[in-house]
Amino acid sequence: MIKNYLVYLWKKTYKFVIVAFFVFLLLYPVSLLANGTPELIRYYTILCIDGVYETVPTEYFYVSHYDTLLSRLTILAMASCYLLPIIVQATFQSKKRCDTLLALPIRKKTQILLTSAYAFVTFLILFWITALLGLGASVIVQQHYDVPNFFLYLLVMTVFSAGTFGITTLFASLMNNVVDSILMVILSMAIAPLFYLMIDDMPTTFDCSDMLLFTCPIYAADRVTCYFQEQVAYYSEGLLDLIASTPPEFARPEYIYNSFFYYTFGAKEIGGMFTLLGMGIVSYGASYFLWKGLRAEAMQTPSAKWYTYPLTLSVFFIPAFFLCRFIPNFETENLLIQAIFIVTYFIATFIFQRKIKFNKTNLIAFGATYLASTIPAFFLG
Amino acid sequence: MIEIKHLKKYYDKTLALTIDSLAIENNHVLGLVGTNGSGKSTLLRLIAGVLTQEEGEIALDGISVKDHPECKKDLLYISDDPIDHVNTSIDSLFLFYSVFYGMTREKLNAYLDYFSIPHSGNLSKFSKGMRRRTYLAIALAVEPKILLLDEAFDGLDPTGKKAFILALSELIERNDMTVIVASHSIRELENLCDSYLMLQEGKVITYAPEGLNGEDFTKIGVAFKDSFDFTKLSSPKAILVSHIDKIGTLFFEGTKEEAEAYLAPFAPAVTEFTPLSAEEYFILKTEEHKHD
Repeated sequence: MIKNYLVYLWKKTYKFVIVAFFVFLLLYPVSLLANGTPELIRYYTILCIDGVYETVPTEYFYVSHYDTLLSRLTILAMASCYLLPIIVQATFQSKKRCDTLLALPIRKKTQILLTSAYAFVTFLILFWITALLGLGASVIVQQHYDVPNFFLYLLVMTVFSAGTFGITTLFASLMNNVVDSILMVILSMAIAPLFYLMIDDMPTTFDCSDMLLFTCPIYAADRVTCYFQEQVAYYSEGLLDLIASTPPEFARPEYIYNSFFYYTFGAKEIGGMFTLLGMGIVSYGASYFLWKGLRAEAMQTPSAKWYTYPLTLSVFFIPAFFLCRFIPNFETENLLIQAIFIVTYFIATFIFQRKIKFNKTNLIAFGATYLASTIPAFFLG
Repeated sequence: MIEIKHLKKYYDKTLALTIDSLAIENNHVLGLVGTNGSGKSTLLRLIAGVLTQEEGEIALDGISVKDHPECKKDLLYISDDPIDHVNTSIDSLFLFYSVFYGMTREKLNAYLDYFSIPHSGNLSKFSKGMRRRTYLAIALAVEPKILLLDEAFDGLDPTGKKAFILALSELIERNDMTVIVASHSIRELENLCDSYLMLQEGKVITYAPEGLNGEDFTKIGVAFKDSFDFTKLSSPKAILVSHIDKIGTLFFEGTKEEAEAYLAPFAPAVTEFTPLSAEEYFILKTEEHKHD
């Protein structure tokens, strides 16, 4: 039956997989264009090979290029855009479809795992093919290449994708209801790129990315993955060779670390910790009550009024702002960023959570998964 | 064989269904009847493994559905409104059911023809009756060993109902099939089912292994010469169904002779005794249970 399930997934999605492959090919140059790279074509052809750090002479090949925000965002977006339609279209399209699927002689969790594994494996195949084509193009156009780096890059991205997919799969399978779990994954994955955009080059003393650990399991997955990436980077023979062949001023481990995996890690101040905790509680509390309001409206009960949402929002939002104001080194722009973050979160909540059943089991599962995915990331970070 | 023991299913904290013991033999057609919210769909969903019970066990040939979902390989469940119709076509349904249940296109097409459904098209463009017939065609084309049908006749016109009953009966005769069908159309079930399980408010009120024939009851049509207070006829043994002026109908628990003896003191002008139909029996039992 597992084979049947995979056959079904393939038959259902092969057209999408083929289209996705061509989209992937296009996404690389788009990502580089968005990154402001002037020599788009050149960089595209030397994809996966050359370093592009301004301070580093181009003859020294770093894989650091792939750590730029937009490159990673692209990978994440690719993974998200790839995974979600497969899950949603091929399997858990609606609650009614869920009934039909749950009646199959395969466990719900097995179905989720198989779907995720299928999406992950096909994603990796496409990704590797795309990257290999990039390598081929580079060899033809540039007449030089760095195979160890190339494969290191692929390895790192494989781990990165596995981390993301793994956490989301775990996240989904722990939920009590299939629809809820998928919506939760969608919620997480859909808002993750927004967070990435928000933290791009923000001049802050208290980095907003810290907060993501508490709000976005995908980001947390990324943090966990980064840890393993670091291990890969440090112990990879290819990278060590690279370091050895690089001038000393660029070969410092922290430079490699920064250029390859740079993100500001977890909150280093106790105030920041409280902020994170407070904002996490506030966000989820608000989401819960907003959801109740939405549900009340959907059921046309007297408790839902036009002011239900703004009021609920205010009740949680205003204290959150005050809380943030009393944090040392917390500047105005941070507040703005946080406001954007919260509004974004609420919009996502409005859109997605109205369909999510918030019963006790789901909340416990959600909380447990959330903690399981964020706490290790926090400490590893 | 489907065995149910000490089953209890709760929605939140509300007990939705409780069945102490039920065994459905192979090659048997069981009709599930009950009012709205009585637990019919819940029972089918539990057997299909869509829901899981809090207490008790459901087993297919001795294997627990909850613990071993693989035992459902020969079971097909068609819910009352199975799949979101927006993106569902005949082809996508065929893909799904052929991969998981081994249905052939030829067989599906034959049943689609039988129900006058086109071989292709999106279900969103079909009428409710056409959608229902499509799923029934699938149910028949799959030829499962165990078929669970929720609201099988919902949306079907009389011709469609007749055609389905005929096709299913033929299939049951040809194959060893166990069918559990939930429906409000008791009249249609009469032509199909070997036995009935009547549910109300999540409880079994009657299990009728020989059918809903209402042998213990008599339906009496009664008329009086002058205006009559029909409430006088009501008793624990006689349930007044309807009355207008001098004419009334009641169900009596007992034989025709006992009914005659019961009515004699009231001296009716006309009495007519007829056996209870399955539908009437259902109403009677439901009313009885309400009074309990």
